[in-house]
Amino acid sequence: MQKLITNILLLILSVYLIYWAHSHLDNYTLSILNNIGIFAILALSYNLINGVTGQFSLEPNGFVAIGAYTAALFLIPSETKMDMFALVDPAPVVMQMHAGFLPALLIAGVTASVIALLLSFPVFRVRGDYLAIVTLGFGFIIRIFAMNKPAYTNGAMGLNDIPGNANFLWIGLIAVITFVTMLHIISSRFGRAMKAVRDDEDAAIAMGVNTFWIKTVAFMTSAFFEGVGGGLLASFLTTISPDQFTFLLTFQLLIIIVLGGLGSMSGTLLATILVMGGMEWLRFLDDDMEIFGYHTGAHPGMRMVVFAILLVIMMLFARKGLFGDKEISDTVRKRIGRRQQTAGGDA
Amino acid sequence: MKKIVSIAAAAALMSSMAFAKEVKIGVVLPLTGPIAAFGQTSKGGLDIAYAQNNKLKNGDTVKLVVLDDRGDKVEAATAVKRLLDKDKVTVILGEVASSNSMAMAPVAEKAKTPMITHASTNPRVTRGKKYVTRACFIDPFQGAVMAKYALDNGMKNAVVVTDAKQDYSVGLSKAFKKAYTGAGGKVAKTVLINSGDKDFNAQVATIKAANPDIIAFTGYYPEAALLVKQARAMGVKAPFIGADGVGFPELVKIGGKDAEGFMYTDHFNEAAASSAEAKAYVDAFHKKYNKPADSMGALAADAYGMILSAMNACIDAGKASDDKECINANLRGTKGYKGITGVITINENGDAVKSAVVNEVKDGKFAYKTTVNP
Repeated sequence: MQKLITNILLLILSVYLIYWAHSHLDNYTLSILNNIGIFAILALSYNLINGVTGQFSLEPNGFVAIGAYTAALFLIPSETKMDMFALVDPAPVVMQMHAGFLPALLIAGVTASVIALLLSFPVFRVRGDYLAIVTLGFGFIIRIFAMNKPAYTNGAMGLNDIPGNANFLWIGLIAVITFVTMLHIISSRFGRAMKAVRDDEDAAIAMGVNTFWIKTVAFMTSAFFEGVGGGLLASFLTTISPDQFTFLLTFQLLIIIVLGGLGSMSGTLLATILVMGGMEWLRFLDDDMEIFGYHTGAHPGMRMVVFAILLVIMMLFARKGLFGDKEISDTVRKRIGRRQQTAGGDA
Repeated sequence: MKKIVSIAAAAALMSSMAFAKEVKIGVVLPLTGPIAAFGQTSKGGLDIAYAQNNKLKNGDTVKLVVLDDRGDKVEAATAVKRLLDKDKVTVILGEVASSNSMAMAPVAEKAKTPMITHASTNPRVTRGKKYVTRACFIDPFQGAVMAKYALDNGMKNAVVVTDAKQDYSVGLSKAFKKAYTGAGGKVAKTVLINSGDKDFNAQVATIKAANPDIIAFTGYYPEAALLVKQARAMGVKAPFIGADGVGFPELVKIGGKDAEGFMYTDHFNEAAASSAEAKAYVDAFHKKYNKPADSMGALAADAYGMILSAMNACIDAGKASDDKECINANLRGTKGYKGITGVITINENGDAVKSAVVNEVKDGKFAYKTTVNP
């Protein structure tokens, strides 16, 4: 009961903070927060399949692209589509796609999820490294499709003038929803089955866990949130093109979840803040600096070098990521528990 | 007496404050990442232009705030917001890639801040925007230049080669046909190719049968090199003309001797620099970098020059040098600006109308042939 009240209070507090940030902060700060929010949605959901279920899958760029394109096509008005598609006329189905913002996001998520379901049949026939290769291929296919089917995607130029409905209220709330959902899943029966699959798939099968089904559910859930995140990204940037959804996007998410700790949702959240914010906070390194009267000169790219070094140091000192596979609440509870014990001992 | 002194002191303070004013121009360029080469050459030209002139008429100094965006859309959009909210810039200059400029344009538009891109040629960058201008011509404009050059030289029968996979090529072909047929030329045939194709025998046979005066090639350099090689091998003698998509060293490397005489339109060639401004820029460029001046840098220098000229016009009109509305009105109303890449006039869409140069492959090098005015 006490836990429930604490959780509800935390939820109300975070919603209030999001509202406060939305109405008080300047555009630049909000922009960083929005990037963090969007990537938190992507990384949290990616962690479900990669960290919690232990399937080394490299597909997120594909699902994010599907979500982004689906949402964008539903959001862009017909006249803009006719004007934008320069290479060929848009396909008839593209002209009929219209939806409000929230429906468009949901459709984007469901589309990614359905494709995940179809994909899971061939993909989960293999494990480990082979799984990585198969899912990597999927990401490539989606990008090549986006490049070469101009009637649906407007080819290499991509889409622009996407209505920019996504503000921090939406992005922040959906990020909180994603976080809560993920926490809920990993502490549920499904979550325990997913961890069983990760720790020893054969043992899980022996214990009667339908591992294919569990993996598919994790995959579909992950794809749903990646699709929604992709839709938010499209609306936030107002323009998308195939070159955004290369393997580098997956790689960025992989860095985030490994840094945060595979399987730890609060770790992922913290790592998203560090990775997405870090690039902006380290910007001063690119500029000319004066150290003891000596001018370093401007070195564009210096922030990336320092950032990489920081990553290496962090991984050296926290081999299993910042939080391992624990949540922040576990750590706090352990601390408090220990203090209570010592307090009890003194008495 | 005391009062007078304090008023005088206040006035002196205010005037000195007004004198020391600094106007900031925010620059977003891909200085690292996959398209870093374009960003760095742009920065090279910008540095020269800045060194030549960084003061306004009333003594205000101009400061550049340069941000790198790694050629990444998300970061380009964030960089603009940083320039606006943190650095409080008056004007934004950038980006190179059209897709990145498209991520920046809505932000500038919303903040009612003038933005000028020096090298984004896709027509959609300025579409429907009141505060976005460009210093370069748009893709289809080169089609009109190609048509004009062909007709001026008495080539009245053309074959158009279109890369069906590139919107750049499709737009260019459309513009070429419109200008060419509108001024009395005849398009005998349109031949379609696809990026990545290696064998063009079927297309070359069609071209040969049409027996054109000129072949207007609107795609990119890899196909251009292979096509010209195979066409010459099959005895097609007509000259080729392309746009800036073919002006890469690979055209000569792959095309070899057959690429000789291949013409293409481009933004800038230092051999065409005839005005005093252009000559001063080219000289300074040689002195600093010891290599020929490139078009990316020249365009960036022109964009910078246009901003300064717009600011000076505001000062002449009695407005502040950081009056965004005034600067934007002057940028969009630019008429006959004598730049390094030519005389620039901005049309009602915010796109530059200016002369283009025609280059030609000569002895394995890109040589300046002529300048075509719009």
